[in-house]
Amino acid sequence: MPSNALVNPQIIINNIAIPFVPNSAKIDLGTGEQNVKAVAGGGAVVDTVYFNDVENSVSKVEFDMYVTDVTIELHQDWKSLGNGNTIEVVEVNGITATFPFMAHTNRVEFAIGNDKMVTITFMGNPAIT
Amino acid sequence: MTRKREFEFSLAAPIGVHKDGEKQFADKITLVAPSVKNNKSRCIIKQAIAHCIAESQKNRESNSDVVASSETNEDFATLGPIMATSLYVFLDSNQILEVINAFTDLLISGCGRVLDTPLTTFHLEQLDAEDLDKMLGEYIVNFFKF
Repeated sequence: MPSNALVNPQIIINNIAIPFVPNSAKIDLGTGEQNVKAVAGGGAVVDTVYFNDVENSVSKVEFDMYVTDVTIELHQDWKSLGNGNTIEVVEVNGITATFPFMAHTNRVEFAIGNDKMVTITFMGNPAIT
Repeated sequence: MTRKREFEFSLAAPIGVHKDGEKQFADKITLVAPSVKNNKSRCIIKQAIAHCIAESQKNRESNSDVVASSETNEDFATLGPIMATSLYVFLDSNQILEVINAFTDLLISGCGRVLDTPLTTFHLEQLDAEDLDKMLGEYIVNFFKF
């Protein structure tokens, strides 16, 4: 089946399309981590146990922004909302993922100077696709 | 007499809105009257309406009811579609586009709200084109007086 690489997404946070650095966006849908272990049943009986590690079922959206007055204002707004941010990532080929109850989690240091960037990280509920 | 400053428009096709950490769907948009801050867009729209009125006056015998008068007794919801249609009748495609762009600029500059959040381009991109036309018509009938 032919497929298209996801190259130029639109990131919309709280109804506003965000200007971010190209090729910097990363998303984790929050599908978590699963594991399978073998268990011995005595003799030749061997079975498996499936583990769903819900501890990792947290979604993540990460991207870089240039340091501007707008970036600082948005960062403050996102932080002030706690986990009340909503993020929608829309790729041009039609894939949309909605990330509810997202919190802007990372500490951000704004470097003042030419061509400076910051990484913005959000974490929250698993994505709805 | 105090003029009405806002009214609710019902959408035929609901749009998604980010609110309280979730994506919700809204089928109503609150439209707010333009202020002096919105003068550029307001003037473009008002000039287009004036053009339509002038054109309809020229063709009065054949087209006497096309442009709605502010003194008519019909309700705004009925007059809205008539106003939207009259724009398409009397303006060329470039003029209509200019009016629609001016209207969308108005909406994202404080004259539109959805679920108590300001309208943004994200919302406008989801709007059904027919809804936008009808909204423009009702907006003109409600807030533009001659």
